Amino acid sequence: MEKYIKYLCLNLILLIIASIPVVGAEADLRLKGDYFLYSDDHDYLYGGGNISLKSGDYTIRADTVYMNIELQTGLLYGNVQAIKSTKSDKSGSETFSCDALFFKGIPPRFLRVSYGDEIAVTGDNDLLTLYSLFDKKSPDMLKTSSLYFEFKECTVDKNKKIRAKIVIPYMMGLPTVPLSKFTIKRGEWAEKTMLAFNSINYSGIDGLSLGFLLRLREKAAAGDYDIKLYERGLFKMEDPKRGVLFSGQGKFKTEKKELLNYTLLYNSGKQSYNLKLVHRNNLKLFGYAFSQLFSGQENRSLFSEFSAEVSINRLKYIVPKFQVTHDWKGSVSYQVSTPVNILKNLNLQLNWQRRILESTYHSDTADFGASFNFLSSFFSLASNYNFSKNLLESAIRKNFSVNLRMKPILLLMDNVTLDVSSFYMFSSLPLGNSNMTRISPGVDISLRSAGVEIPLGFKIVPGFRLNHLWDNREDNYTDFNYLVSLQREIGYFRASVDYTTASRYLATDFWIEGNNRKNINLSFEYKKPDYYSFLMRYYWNNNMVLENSSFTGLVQLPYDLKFSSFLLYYNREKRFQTVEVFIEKTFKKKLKIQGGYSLALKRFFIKFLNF
Amino acid sequence: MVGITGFYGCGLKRAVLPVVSYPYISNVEFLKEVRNVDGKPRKKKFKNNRILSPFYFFIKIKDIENSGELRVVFYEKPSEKGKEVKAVEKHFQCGEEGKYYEYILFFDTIEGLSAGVHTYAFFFNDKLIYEGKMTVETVEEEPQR
Repeated sequence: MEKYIKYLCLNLILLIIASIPVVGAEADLRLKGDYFLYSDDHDYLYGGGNISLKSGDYTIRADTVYMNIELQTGLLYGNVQAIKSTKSDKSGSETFSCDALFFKGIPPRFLRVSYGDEIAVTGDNDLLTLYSLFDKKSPDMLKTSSLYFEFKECTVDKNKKIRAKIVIPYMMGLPTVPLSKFTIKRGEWAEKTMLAFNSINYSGIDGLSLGFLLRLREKAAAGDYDIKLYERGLFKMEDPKRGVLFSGQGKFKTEKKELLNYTLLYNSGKQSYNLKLVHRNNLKLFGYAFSQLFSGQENRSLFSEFSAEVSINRLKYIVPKFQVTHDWKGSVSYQVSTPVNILKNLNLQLNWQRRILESTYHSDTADFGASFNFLSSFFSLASNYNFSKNLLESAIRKNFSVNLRMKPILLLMDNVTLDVSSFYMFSSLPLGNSNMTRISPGVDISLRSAGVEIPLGFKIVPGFRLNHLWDNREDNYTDFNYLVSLQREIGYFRASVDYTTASRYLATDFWIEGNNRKNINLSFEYKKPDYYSFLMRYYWNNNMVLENSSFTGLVQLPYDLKFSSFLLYYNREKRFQTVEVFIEKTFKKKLKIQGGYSLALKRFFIKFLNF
Repeated sequence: MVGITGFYGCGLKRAVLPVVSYPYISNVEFLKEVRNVDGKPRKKKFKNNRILSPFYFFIKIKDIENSGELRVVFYEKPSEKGKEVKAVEKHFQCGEEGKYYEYILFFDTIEGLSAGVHTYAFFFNDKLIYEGKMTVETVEEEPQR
């Protein structure tokens, strides 16, 4: 197996080398000037000084350019002069000038704006929203990116690939080696058959991995596949030490329709595979889908399952669907389901299923289910019913629930919100020769306030919640929860004291027993959004003894670095329960690196996390 | 100045490396008050960022060489369907020949703009370098919470 993997890696490397250089994308937007700046994080380009833009028949000169590469929208400022050379028409070329020129797409469409005593707007009216809303990012903002490039010339194609000349890459604000040519943005993958290197990565699951994209775009077949070569042995991870992970999806097709879709997954390390073939079609009166699944692993028998599904489309209030699955060994299941659409706000779903399992054990069950949802201006109602019968043992299970929720009622000039909801639950489960029935209705009422301003800049925020549950098998109980919060804000600083009590009362015969717990939380927060936040909390328990204190801190550093800390101190035991202090950096929204100290691990650590 | 690395790489000489050579707007703000206190700007913002008339504009332009003129223009729409026309215009001379400025700050008050959305444009040496839209709220009391 290892020899096979090494052979595959060598062939992949040779294929990559042979496929580079890829036939260059058409140079659809060519920019030249004294200075350009491209930010990797913002995917944005700025240019200043003697700007020249060429695309198609147009040559445009300006002083400044701003361009959003992702959206392919941009803006030119200054003494904008545009020349459109019409090659077919020998009479000459068209010219126009303006103060600002908005453009979109490659090749671009334009909107011209002149700022004289009046503002004159002419051109493609579809770009008027661009005129109002285009976001201009200054070079200062672009340079906060951990990776950016300065250069003097570039081409941008339809796939958003940017190739630049006379380039200085900057990492974390520091210049690196100037290059005469460099592809600073790879862009989207072209819609053609290709094999390309995608990524190099490290994670706690795969170890070190190299990722490749295999794309198929032929007349009869199309698909996208990921090939991942992983190495775990070097990092002393458990088996498998290394291997290939091949996954993807594709289809066989004609010009007009898809014949067969498939998804596949193969892991050489675990010797496991998964292949699913699907054929589906939608006809006038009904639609159907057939699928076959194969799944296997080393030392395990092959699992195979066939599924067929038919749905009737043209009926007025229902869309019945029939489904059958069979594992080619004796296990089979049938299912019939349909939504019932009689009223607009009323959703009803019916479902019947029979499952016969013939594997290491035998079972034969029939299930019927119905779910109901209704929305009105004043309330919402949801209900579920399930009936299940074991045909071998003649045992029956039933479940029924209803939940009625009133729309929140606003009182006292929308300061107070009243929420009322009630529920009913019924279940019947087999117990010996009979069934055990449980019925538990209940009601939940909550009263929340947005707060009341009191003198000296303080604010009181009260809250109340009542929950009562009836239970035919156990004691009924009522829960009361009170909350009173006293808050004060001064600029970025916020302090609050929260007093909460939680009580439960049980009615037993003539007696009412109960217990309640109370606690106080004191918190201090100093927060400036996008810069830093610090939160200090103290917690007193039911006996009014200070139980624990915690501190959470976050500081935003340059180049998207974050400094985080969390400390939890047990006052009664006079020790730290948790201490975590670390710095974190996110790369290209895909990989996060954290490094710091953890008391739980009792050491310094570095973590690599994938998104 | 950015772009000067001080060393050669891949056959590139310093003279051909990209260098910022054109002034650009780094910051634009609309404030309640701006004062020059010992050479530093002291700014006061509007509450809840609701800009009322009169207001101050505050602009930071970076990488200015030699002298120049900044022209600040605000436009308004006299009627719903009409074009935007010039309402306020201000001029500022700055800089001296032969000198380079990492940044220059400009601020002044704008009066007489009616409530509504206004387009503004900044011209440096008669060339547009920035434009945008801002909203002036009504001059009445702010709505109660």
